[in-house]
Amino acid sequence: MRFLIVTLISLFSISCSEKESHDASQHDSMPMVLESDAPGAGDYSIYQVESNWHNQNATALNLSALVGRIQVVAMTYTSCEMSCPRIVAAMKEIEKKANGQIGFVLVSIDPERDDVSTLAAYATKMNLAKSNWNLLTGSSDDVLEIAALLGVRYQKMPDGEFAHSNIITVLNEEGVIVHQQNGIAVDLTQQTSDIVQKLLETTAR
Amino acid sequence: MGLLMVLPSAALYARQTARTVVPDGMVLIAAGKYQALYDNGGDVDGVAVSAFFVDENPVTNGEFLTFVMAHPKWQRSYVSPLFAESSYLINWAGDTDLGTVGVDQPVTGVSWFAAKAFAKSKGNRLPTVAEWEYVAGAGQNSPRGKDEEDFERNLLILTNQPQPNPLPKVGQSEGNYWGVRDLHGLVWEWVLDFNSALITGESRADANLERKLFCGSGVVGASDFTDYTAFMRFAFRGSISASYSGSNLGFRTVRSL
Repeated sequence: MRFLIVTLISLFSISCSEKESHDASQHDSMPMVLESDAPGAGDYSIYQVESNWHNQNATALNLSALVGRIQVVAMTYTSCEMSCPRIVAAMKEIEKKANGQIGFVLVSIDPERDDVSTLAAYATKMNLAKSNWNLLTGSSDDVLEIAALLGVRYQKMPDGEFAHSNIITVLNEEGVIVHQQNGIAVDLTQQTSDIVQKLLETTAR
Repeated sequence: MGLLMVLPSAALYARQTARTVVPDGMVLIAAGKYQALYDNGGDVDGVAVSAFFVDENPVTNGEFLTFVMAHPKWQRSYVSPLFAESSYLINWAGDTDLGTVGVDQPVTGVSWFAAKAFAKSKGNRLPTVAEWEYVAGAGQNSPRGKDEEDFERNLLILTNQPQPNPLPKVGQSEGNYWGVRDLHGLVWEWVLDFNSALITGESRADANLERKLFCGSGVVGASDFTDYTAFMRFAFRGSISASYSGSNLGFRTVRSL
């Protein structure tokens, strides 16, 4: 019994402080793409996954189609009225400062309801420029996988809504995670925007 | 057998068994309800689980070796660090060399991505939380272990034992009502939707799973206070990421009917 209690306490304490330690470790281990002959070894790009998606223009694509441009990614769903519009607003804030030089991706966590036409209507409603935004829908399996890669947790609730992490991820041109914003506070969005600007300056040099 | 006849689901189970070809090494699980540890205000009868097949035993080192030999990208020195931590298959002697690790021991040190790829190669998938908990909640004589005397006490004793080193072979424990073995006390097991277990930076105040699951008084939100082993599993799932490759974590696969 004592063993069990100790295990429980240690699990609980790890979990309660997980947010900070997780964030810290992500920064510490923030990888550059390493050169290697071994297939896959040293490759931190999330574009190596083989998932299949459709965007709001009914174009079929793999994530590797996003290569070559900094991408700002979030996982949302179109019927969400609480935090998702705020996530999109934060991303548009970042877009304004980036002068059309970066891409934006919204992956739907509700593929049952978010088909291509629903995504297209949402893009129009939210006034998302076609040239910069990809709204993606795919199989629930592929959605789970990208959520695992981005560290996004979500769960469908009995009322049909989803509980989900509010994480905005910045990917570099190769698809490596370079920054994650956990939450949608204004100062966090400003920080993400600054990081994107730095990345753009580095790329321009 | 007398008991089976009085359970409505048992008749259905028998019919399904009669006409369904059960894949090798797998067991048929009849449809039923899983009483979630956290019901989130949903159906009080629990979450409906459709019938499916599940591996009788956890996946072994021998089976995983066959898989990585056919799929070199999942060998230790080739696997992408995106998909597995450096502790991936660390107890093996080499990429395709088990060394002193037993062929029939449960494979551990596998990430969610690797477990998922293994399952896919078999035409299977990982079980959902609901499916896994539904199977693991069965007792010796009925699909609902909670109705049996000493069920939770026995689980606690099993879970309480330190992990033996080396791990025993799979399939040595007594099968449960479904004939599924080693669900408790051998290794933890991956589930497909492990990342639904904890929400950080959650979107809605009433969906504050992190509070419910992890911080002391939050336990009052649970549907069953006595189910300590389920608390442990939920806490564990909430604490890991998909590339985690710990020495205590294995998996088994399922197939939809």
